Amino acid sequence: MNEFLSQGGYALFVWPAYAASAIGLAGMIVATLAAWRKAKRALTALQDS
Amino acid sequence: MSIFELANPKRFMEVSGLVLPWIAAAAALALVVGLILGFRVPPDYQQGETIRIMFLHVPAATTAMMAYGAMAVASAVGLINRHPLADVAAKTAAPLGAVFTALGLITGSLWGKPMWGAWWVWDGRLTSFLLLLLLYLGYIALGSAIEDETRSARACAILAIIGAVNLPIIYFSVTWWTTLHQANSIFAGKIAPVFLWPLFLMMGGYTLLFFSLWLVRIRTEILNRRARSVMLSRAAG
Repeated sequence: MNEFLSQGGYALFVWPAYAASAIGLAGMIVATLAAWRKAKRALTALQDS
Repeated sequence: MSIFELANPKRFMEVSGLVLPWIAAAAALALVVGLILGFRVPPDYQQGETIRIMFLHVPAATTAMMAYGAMAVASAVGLINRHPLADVAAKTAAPLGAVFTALGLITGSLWGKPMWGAWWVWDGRLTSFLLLLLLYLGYIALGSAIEDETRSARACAILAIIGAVNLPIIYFSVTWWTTLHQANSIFAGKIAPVFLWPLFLMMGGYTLLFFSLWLVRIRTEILNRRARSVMLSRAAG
């Protein structure tokens, strides 16, 4: 386990790269889905009114 | 069915709604398997464990360039055929492309420091890739600066098309100029086969993720415009 975490001494480079990528991809997914839901809700509200 | 039938927003909503779940599922599968395989390959004989950064860096960079290419093509179609859906497609690709570009730069920097001894160098590849980020940001800024939808789309389309010149510059930069960045090696057979599987899966996953998110964003913009036209027609009536 420790060997895995240390990434051959390159932990300080490998893990931030994975963390940044995870944040970037997850951020895009969350923002995109939030905008979709918001648009859908707004249009439904408009059509019901 | 021709591509121009898809240009009808109603038809686009139907078809994209059908294919979207499959593309998204394929993206998730490719990313999960690619991630697992990426941590199971042995360290590279020269680059050690930092080779695992390649599985993030290369997919982010290639997706960023592909997204720009897609944006430029959509811009050209919007400019020539005057089709609003093409304008929407171009506009919605930009923020996604910008994030992929930023991820390419960040992971590249984290790979460059241990391997080259520098976070950043002003060579052809890195500089032209930074220009890609600036083009995306400029495109987004220009789009939000012009109020009128049609004029905004036209100005953005011209910027996107001119900026596309940067794509071959990025690609060939490592051939044209002296650089620390390694040469184009994926399709030159210079990568050990054991690394190719996780790399291709991650590249596929990133690409499919881009297309999934792009479709959702185009669909979102179609709904927003529908809502706007409902409001306008009510205000007029």
